Amino acid sequence: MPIIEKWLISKTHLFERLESLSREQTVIAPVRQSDGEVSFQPIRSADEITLEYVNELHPPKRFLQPVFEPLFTFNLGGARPQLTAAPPPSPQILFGVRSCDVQGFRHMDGFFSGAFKDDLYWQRRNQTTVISMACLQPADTCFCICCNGGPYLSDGFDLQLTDLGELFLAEVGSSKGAAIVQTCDRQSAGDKEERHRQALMQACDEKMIPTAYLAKAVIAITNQRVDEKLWEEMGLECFSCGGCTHVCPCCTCFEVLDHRETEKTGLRFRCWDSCQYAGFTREASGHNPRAQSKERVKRRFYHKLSFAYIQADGHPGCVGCGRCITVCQAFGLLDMAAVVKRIRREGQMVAE
Amino acid sequence: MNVPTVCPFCGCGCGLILEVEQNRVCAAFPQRSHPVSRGTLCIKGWNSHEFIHHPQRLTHPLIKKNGVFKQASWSQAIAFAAQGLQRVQERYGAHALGVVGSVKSTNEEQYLLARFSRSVLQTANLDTAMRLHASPTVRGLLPHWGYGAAGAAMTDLESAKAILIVGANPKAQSANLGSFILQAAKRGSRVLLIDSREQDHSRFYGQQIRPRPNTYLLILQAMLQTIISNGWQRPAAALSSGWKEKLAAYSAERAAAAAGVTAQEIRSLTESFATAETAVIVYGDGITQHADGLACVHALWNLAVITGNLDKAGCGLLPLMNSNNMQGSIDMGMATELLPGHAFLTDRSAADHFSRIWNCSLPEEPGKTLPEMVRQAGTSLRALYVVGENLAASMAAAPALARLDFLVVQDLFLTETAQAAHVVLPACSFAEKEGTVTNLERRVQRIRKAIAPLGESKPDAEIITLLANKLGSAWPDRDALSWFGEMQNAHPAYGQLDVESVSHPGGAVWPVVRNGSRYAYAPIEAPTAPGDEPDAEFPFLLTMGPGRLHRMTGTLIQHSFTLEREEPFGLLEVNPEDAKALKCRSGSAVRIKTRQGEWVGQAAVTRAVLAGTLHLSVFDREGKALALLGTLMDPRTKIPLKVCAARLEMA
Repeated sequence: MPIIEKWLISKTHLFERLESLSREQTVIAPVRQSDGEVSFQPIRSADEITLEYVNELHPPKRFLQPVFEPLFTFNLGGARPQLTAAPPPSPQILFGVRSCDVQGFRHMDGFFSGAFKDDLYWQRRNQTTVISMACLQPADTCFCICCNGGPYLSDGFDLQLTDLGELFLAEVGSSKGAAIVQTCDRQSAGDKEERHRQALMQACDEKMIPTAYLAKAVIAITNQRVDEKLWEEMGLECFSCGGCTHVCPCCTCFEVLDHRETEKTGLRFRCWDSCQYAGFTREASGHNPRAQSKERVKRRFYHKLSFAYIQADGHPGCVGCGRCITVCQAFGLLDMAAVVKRIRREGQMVAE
Repeated sequence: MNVPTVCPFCGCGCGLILEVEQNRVCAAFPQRSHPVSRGTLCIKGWNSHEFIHHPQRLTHPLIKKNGVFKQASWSQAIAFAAQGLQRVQERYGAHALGVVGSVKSTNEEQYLLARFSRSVLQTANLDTAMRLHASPTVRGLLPHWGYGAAGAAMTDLESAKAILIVGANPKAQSANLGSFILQAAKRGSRVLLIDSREQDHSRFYGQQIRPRPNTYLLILQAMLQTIISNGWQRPAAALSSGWKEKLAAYSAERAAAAAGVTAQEIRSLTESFATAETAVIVYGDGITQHADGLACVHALWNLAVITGNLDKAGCGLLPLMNSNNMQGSIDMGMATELLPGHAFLTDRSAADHFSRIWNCSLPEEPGKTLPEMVRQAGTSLRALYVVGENLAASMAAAPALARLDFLVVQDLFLTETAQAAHVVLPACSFAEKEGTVTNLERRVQRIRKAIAPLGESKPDAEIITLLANKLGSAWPDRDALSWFGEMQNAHPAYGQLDVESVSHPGGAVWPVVRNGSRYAYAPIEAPTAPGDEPDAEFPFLLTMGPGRLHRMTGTLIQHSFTLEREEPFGLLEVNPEDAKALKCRSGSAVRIKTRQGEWVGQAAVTRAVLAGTLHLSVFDREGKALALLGTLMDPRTKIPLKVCAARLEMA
């Protein structure tokens, strides 16, 4: 493990830096909205930033994979098709992202790499500086300690902050993080601050109710030992709203579509999609390999928890952010924590 | 930028946040602090931003010249529309004009359109798609309860000891309401379902009985009879004289025989309902669009009165409203027999009030309803002003529209109805205007302008004002929300709200005057002959209703790529027994024939429908499925029925 530089930076000073950085690039930070919710939004002034927030429902993955993302415009009117690429992404700083979402970014990095390296994603990703915030305030739906999603991380961020009152403990995770720290007034952090941080993290750990013991569910799913009746029941309960996948920091599926302005011209774009929709897998013939909701629910948990995927991705497809608990229309029945519990308690076939 | 607003689809009225970047709505997501959505949305809500920027949105007024639409300026289009309407008015009189509003327009806009119809066009012919779903609710509840609206709120489903669902599929039709009910069922509340079709959530409910379509009235009367004969009525519920004798004819055995269920099932469901301390009754199109819909609403009212399930927490009737502001159509009097504030036109003191404030004379009798306007198009009705309603799809009205002398259509898209128009006025979507909408539990909420109007499109209120002033009125050109004040004067219950209270997440519920459960019973009515009974040639009973996604005419859904993809075609549900006899499988091409028409499509073999019955989701844009139904309608409320006899063949 690399040795991480640790510094102490005053809060007001870092906020001032963010404000001046916002003149050069987009700085996105948690901002309180008129309805009382906190949302990650571009800021122009440090006064807009709030540090009093739990997970925003609409996850910051949208700054790496926008819900709606233009790819190019086309004109098929001439002798040869003319394509004009959408304006390239510009540099951005994501300030205050929680550890679970940073772990989600790592999952996205994996998905958008490999055999089909996604240029657009990486253009955006490479120009993004992630200043994460170690979590002191878990929501009552949080279970990151079950999924290696937090409350603080040892890597994956450019800069990780821990709120020590007047000061931030700043841990440098990359050269991008170092570049920000270098422009700030700072002091070296010592064992005292490290112990303070450990105590805060311990307290945060203890606030969480670890309801999502993944291990048994992973074993049951991997070995096809989940009772089919449980999938069937969950399929009937499910509203197929797609909310769980929309808010999941590990879900990356998208659809590519054209908006035709005229017969010959238009815009090609991509947008978020969901494996919980019947239309997601329906084939041109009309055949649908996952026509029923139970098959789609099953698919979601196979992707997140079966060993084959965990091995390929290096971790389960869940970071314990708990958002699926909030957005599920079948309240408390089909979110990650509930399904893991149901598999553990009621859904395992007894070995003969 | 995040803009809080209200979902434009069903009647639940979920709180939405629209995410806006550079004047484009990029995403929609749920509002956590909202009392209905509680951080959740259904598939429609999550994708409600998609149609807003669809490239086929209308961005300029269009005038048809020699059969071809030509782009026009607003002043040309408004002048053209005004002249066309005026010409018809001069030649045939105001009664030859009709106005059809949208159940998605805001309260302010529907109020303005009602005022425009009554005072500017001076016609009695005004209506909305409310007619096609909720007219029995208005006619059935208003005289007895004082309101054509729900008496229960969704949160009452949390405290109700029993929930009776009749002729509705809440999970599919109003997902968040279905979510409240699923939670209640999982908590152990008695959820009781009367519906001929099985539903996804049926197995989680306490009991379901599956009567044949068109026999619900007998079941509900048998429930009343069972309550009385077992003495389950509440002490406060004094019976009217002669009631017992009247109900004696409606035994559980009689209902059971007609409906194909057992008398024991009816009795046990009745006991679960009547002996619960509190109960909410949820009902939908399966009541209102089938035979005896009004009589069924009366029977449900009686069930609520006799069990004392009114005016308390955890009690009341909760009729499903199919659109985000169908309740607003009722509240604002956007119907021929209504005035704003839940008064019938025949209520002379209300009529005098409105003729004074609108400075016009009001007719003594209602004019034409929506189905009557369509039927009389080209004869006694010569011109129509249609705001945001695709009549070609909802009423299979394309041939009727072609018979009109003049047609003005105001919409977001060039629908089949707009294509038949002489002039098309481009309207704004919910994301481009201010206003209020009222959900199915009377919750008045604010929708907010998130982006500038697309192209030259304008909010409905502004267009109606332009047209009114071109026709000689002098309405102030003010923004939509400032009409809220005038609207409040017209509607006593809205008068107790203010813009601030409706602007919070969840808005404010318009209050009702409670009566302490001392309510009169509605009449007990005998079933009538539905008029289109199965016989040897047409042996099946075909019902039609909305799919999970395709509600109303599908204009918004079909311009939302994710939603359009989800249910690309209608399926005909066939029971396995009937399918076996016909050698038909899921996916087989089948043909339905009825006395009125023919439809070809795919079969879905499922036990969700009873043997001998078929169910088709209605959402084809040309109204081909609807043409199967012909012209059967309830004579009192004029609601077209969605049941008929049919024959099934392999195509």
